[in-house]
Amino acid sequence: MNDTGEIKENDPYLWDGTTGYRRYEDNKTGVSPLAFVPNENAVIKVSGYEHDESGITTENADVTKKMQDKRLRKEKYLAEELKSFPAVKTYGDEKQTTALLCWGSTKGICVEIAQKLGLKVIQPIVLSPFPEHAFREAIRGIKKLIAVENNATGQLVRLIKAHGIDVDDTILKYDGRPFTLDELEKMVKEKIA
Amino acid sequence: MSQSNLDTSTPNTWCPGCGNFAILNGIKKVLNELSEEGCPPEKFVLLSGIGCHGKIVDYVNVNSFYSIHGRSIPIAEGIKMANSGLKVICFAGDGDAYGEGLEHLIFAAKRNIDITVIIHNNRLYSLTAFQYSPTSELGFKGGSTPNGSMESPLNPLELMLASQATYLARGTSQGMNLLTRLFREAIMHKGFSLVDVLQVCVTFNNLYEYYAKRVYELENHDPGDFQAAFNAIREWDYNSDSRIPLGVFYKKEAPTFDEKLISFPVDLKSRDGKIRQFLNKRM
Repeated sequence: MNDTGEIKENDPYLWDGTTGYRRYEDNKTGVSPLAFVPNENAVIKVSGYEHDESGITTENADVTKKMQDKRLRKEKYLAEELKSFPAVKTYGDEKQTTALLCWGSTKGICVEIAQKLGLKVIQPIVLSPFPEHAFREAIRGIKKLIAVENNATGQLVRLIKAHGIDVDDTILKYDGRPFTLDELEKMVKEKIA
Repeated sequence: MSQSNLDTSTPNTWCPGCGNFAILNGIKKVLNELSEEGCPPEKFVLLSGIGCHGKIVDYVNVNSFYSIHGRSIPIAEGIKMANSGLKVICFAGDGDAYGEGLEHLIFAAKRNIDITVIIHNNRLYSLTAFQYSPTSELGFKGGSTPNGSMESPLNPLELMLASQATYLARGTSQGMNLLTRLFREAIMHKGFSLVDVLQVCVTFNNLYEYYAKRVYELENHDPGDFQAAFNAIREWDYNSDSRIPLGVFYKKEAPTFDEKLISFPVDLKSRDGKIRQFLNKRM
């Protein structure tokens, strides 16, 4: 972690030049080595279409499945890496058993309300791959979890439900306007009364 | 270096007789020539979008980016800005660049960024099997317009001239010598260059004979003359059965976006200097 406490400095996984370059080389982690244009020893082929390890289009079923498996493996590896980053943030009173759950633009107002009412705030800042381990750590000891979302269907509630976690209550606002302090304070007080 | 050094081992899936082969062979010939003259293949990046043309990058063993529909141009611009020493060539279809990605094309021309755009203009969507495109003629009976298209086509070269492109040319997939010469000129041109290739789709819109009867190469035409270029471009509107001029319509020297970008910090400095000078006088 650097001075700001946010960005972890990692060296890129660079091509070592010992074998022929393949942009989408399959390996244990699923993360292929990086090389930059121009390089007289490497032909770098990027593709948005299904491709083989060298980056050339494929319509072959076996290659398609193999490359899909590679990407799924990469996602698992990245999810593991993510454990060393602060993927879920918490604010307010850590000892409290009531927490507001929020994401994105509602974070600021939730933190302000939580300070006023003495609550904890939980904010996942990565949604995919979902940091389930860190999220479960954050809700440990919480008896009442209240989701605050600026949309009509409770999108974050649905996402965490897919990971087997339920909220106890939901506050939604979907009239095209952000929450105001007075309004949200009143709504939260009703839920915790 | 022989031409085969630029080949990849992947099988070609275009229809036999497809006009794309002419573009593929033409570009390989030019890349080989330029390589012999001291611009090695690793200095090139080829891009493609979506359409039958897209696979061209699979058939040339050079750095490439097979992008999404209509988006080869913004990616090419990004690559050129990141490293202006690279030669960046976009391959795009008529549906790809004149339809889906038209705004990108107009703005790339407007800012005169030093990239080359080669349009595989078969005047219909062939990969999705036979629908009218921005350059199909009025009344074109395709899969989505069984009673005939109700729209007149765009004249893409007229649009590009209005958008301040600095090199505009047209070739066909039948005339290899001209096509190769245009590709080479377009790549060497400093600034935004576009070659519209009347690339015949043998399967859905076989215009080989139609074009053979109508095309001619521009003679005594001054590509530096905007009005002459305008008139030559308007001789054929992609709709009527008039004669179809081929060759270089327009060519102009102008500062490029990428060179302005590189010189930007220097300009800022001198501007800063001028402001300081002004302030010093007042204080």
